[in-house]
Amino acid sequence: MSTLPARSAVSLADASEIKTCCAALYEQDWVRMLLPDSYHPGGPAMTRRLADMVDLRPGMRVLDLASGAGDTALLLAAEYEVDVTGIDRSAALIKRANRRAFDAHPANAARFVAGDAESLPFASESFDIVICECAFCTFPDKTTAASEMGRVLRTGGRIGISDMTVDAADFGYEFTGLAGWACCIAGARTMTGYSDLLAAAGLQVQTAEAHAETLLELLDRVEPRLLAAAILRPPTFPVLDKAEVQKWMAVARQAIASGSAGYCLLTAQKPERSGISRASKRSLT
Amino acid sequence: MTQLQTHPATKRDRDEVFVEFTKSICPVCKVVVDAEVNVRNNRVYLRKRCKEHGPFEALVYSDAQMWFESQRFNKPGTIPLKTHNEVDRGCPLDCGFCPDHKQHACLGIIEVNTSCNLDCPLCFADSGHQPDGFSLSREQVAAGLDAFVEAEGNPEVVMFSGGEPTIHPLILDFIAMAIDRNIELVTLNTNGIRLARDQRFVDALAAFTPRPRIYLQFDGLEAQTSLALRGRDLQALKQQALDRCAQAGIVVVLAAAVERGVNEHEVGGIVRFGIEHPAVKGVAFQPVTHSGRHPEFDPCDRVTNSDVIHALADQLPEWFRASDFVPVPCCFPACRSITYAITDGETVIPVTRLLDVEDHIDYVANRVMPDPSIRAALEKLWSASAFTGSPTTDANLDALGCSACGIEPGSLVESLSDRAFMIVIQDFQDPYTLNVRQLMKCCVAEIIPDGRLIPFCAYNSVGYREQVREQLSGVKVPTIVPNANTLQPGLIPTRYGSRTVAETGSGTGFNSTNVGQRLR
Repeated sequence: MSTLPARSAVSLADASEIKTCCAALYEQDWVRMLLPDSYHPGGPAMTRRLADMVDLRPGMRVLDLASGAGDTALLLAAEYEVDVTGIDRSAALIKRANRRAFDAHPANAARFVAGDAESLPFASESFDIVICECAFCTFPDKTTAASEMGRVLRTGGRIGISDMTVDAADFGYEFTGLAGWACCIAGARTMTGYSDLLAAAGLQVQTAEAHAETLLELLDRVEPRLLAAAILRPPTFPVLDKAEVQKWMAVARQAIASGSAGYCLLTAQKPERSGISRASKRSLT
Repeated sequence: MTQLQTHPATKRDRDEVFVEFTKSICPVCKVVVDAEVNVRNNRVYLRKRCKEHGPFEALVYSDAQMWFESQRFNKPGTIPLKTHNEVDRGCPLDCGFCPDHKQHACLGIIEVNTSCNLDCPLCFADSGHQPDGFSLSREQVAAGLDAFVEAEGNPEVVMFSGGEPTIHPLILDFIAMAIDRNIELVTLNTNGIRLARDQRFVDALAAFTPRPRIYLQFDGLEAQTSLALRGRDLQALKQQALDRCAQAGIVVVLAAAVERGVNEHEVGGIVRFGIEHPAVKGVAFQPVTHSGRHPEFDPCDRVTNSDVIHALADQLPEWFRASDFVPVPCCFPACRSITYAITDGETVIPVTRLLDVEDHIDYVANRVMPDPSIRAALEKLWSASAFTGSPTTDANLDALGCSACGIEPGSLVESLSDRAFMIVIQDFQDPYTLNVRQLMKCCVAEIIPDGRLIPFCAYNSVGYREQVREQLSGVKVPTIVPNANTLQPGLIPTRYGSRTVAETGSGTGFNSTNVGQRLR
């Protein structure tokens, strides 16, 4: 029986494959069919919760890391009156997000650029807030990504992350079979794991909340869509077997019930003085 | 200090919330009376009073919360091309339609005869082995169909009913006449006996293009149910009829009358049976309408739409929740709820889990800017003309599947319509439950050879059925009175098995309402 790849040993080739895989995945129409409103667990309600936790205020400069089709950024711009820049690896999603921003109100409050989380094309200290929803787990080099987030954040600024949590070793191979989740699960950490990564980048973790219930809601939304796809077989959809879908769902629900899989919201602050880690210093050079 | 004297009597609150003022009829003399709708213990009741026959109350919706929520699914009606009567005496005495009617006829019903090869204890049409009924001629059916075409332009669905329409010697001619008039879908409302016994008849139906659909009386799987509602165990015949339809490629929707204490526990089993049977593409549940002939009942403890919805969710929790059943905006939303499920005969996925149907057909809140193509498809699907297997219904299911999911139309390997199963819950009104507010938007019409289109619930409640039968048969028909427990022991049986009263009164009961009077 195969096992998951060891987390610490992601080769460069693997890394670029994972990133491409994730970005390409979220471009797919069938992924939109599965998760029409919002890709991340908890949907807009969790986005608002995270925004409240980092205390978003009108006029703040916000970076939405891995912004996808722009749902989070547009929500924040509209409801919190902040100025949002979104960044994503997928040129297609950037294009779609910019089109939506153009149609949205207020206009010009959100813009989207293509780029890589591990090498952000922004000057240091250029944002008040960095938001990263359900994407940190997909970054192969999390240490660099965390220090980049710290670098572009102004002193005293805050980071809000929401993400899958996975407690290593508990998973069997079958869980990775669930196409889109493979990358998430493979790269996901425990809540402590994420906190440690942020701390290593010189950020002070402030609050952490567990929201496993949002994963169950997500499964309830996704399961009928996967089963319908297995019955109707849309051409753009991967071929699915009903029994496989039901098996994945049972494994996923079991993992959530046992606490092996969950969802968390984390906030951290860039300290006022000192405390800039070596990692972020290195990234500045 | 002086002690305050408290008054010994204290005011009490009513035990109900008054939510609606409307009109109805006296179930005994059929005179039009004022009526009120009240909510008590989370149930919705219609109450009215006839000056001559006293107060009447009936349960109309067992889940008030659901009833309130249904109100927002109410879309503007469509004006028919032609109405038959002027507004003269007011609803429900000008049928029909009159220009005040709020909706066109999605579904037209022609009752071709009063004869039947069964004498069911339950029959709103009061049919059976009767020598004194009517059997429509070719000319009469033609006149009815022409009137329907005149009012509708391109009618979507005509249903031949009875009596038992399959035993009318001209039934195949009638079907051909409807197809000749470009009526999109012809359905046959039958008990299935002829389908089970006469292969040549099944073959003749299958030879039509487009093929007629069967609306098959099917109240449950247990012999007890069949005995209680139909007087004999019909299960083997139903099975045979369905198997023959499957073999001939004829689509069937099962029609189940649901009566309190008889077959409420069978609703899940009926759906399961339908989903597994290759001929069946849907089930229509009808809480028993206490018109015509029926066993004695309690008007305040009858089955309503929400009872059926909750029973389905309770009995099939792996497939359905109550929220999967969405009220129909085309008629009055409390009258009918529908869901569609995608199924391969084993797994069942309600489309409401794939698409927020409610948000798209909420005409009041309009919380989302609905996609017009999705709303248009949903409006056709959540309608009385919807019938899985009909060209319009299938086309809209496929359009829905595509636009809702962003898939190119026609590109699905298995089309949604091939895999769709429809569940309809429709509470037709009877002399106890008739609410003129709902009636005015009724979209199911009885087509009368004299050219009238009479809303189905008016036909069964107000006295039109008796009037038409009398006109067509030339035999006097008494006023039919519901066999309600509260009207005992004054009821006497008619020769058809329904009930009437010795004296329906002077018809002066209208004095209980002040319409037409003035203060000074």
